[in-house]
Amino acid sequence: MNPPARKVLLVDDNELDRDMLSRRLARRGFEVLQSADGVDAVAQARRELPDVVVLDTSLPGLDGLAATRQLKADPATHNIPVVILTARAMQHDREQAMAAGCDDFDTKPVDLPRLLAKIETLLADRVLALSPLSLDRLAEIRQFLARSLTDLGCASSVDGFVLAVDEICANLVQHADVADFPGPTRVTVRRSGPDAIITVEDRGRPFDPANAPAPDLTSGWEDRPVGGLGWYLVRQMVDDLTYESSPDSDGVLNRLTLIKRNVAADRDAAASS
Amino acid sequence: MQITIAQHDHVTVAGVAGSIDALTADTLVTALLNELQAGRTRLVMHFAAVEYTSSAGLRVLLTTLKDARQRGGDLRLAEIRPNVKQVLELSGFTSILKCYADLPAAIASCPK
Repeated sequence: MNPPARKVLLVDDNELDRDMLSRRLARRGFEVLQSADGVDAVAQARRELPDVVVLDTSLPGLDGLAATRQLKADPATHNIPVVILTARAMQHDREQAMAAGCDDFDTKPVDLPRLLAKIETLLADRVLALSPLSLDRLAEIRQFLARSLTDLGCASSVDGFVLAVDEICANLVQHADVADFPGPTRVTVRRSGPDAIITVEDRGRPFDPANAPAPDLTSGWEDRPVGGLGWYLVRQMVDDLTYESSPDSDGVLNRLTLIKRNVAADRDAAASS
Repeated sequence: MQITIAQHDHVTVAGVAGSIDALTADTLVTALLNELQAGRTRLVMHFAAVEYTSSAGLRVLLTTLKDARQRGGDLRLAEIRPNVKQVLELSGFTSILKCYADLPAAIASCPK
């Protein structure tokens, strides 16, 4: 499964500049939304929840700094990174932009490699490589997840993800014979709009959690099975789960993808609409 | 994870602090089963400082619960944090375990 294209909302009232930068970003694999004024930009950001907003300062209706303040004051959009892109290149222009709450600042004329580097830094995947994977690294995985989700500003609660990845790694180590997993296990956190996507990859014997039977939670204490709860909890704690296993040049690549929706953002967006 | 065992009249209180997971579960179940094997079968686990539990922690609870009841005793929980309570509820444990909002109530609930 290819990850979805990252969505950028490009806001500039100069149609020529906007179209040119839009085409260049699209060629780099971004899905580009466009807006020509601040009021529409804020509305689009609330509706579309882009991965990043690139915003000019001189805009009709609501200028870029005021739009940034609105985006950062709204719980539904405050985690979306904002890059101010402006022809105003003085130090106090940068200071005003940062004071308004933008995450980064760049100047026109557009230096695309520089702008892309800033966007990539804001959207970069967080990766933890575990080789060898062992139980004593569970605390490290937990800290990595909590820190990554906080840094990326996605997922309102990390508890579900921490538990899910903890269970997955514990299962790999305890039940799947880690000696059969010679390659590294990688945990990757990426942002998708306000939501979080976590991928756990390893190279080795296929290990399909979709086939894990659900425990019977209606039985009394005498008959309640002691095992089988781990995958059940994983499924309860995440919003989507997919698994694929495919041979590649280095063996078999197993990839488990977990999606956690930012429930707080959904709720707040619904309340404000 | 840290475990503190204390006796309150006829009730044994096991205070647990930290995370109960695949790494720490064996230590905890060993400590609890030692109490049961010594005849102290009325157990209350004080969960106020339990930050997190995975399915490994649930297995500890179920193993201990079964052993305690088969010996005529019981296992009860007190002062569970919301995120841990959520895991207990999702896994159906609140229907087979008695949970109390405070430790004195949990101790007082245990029959002599």
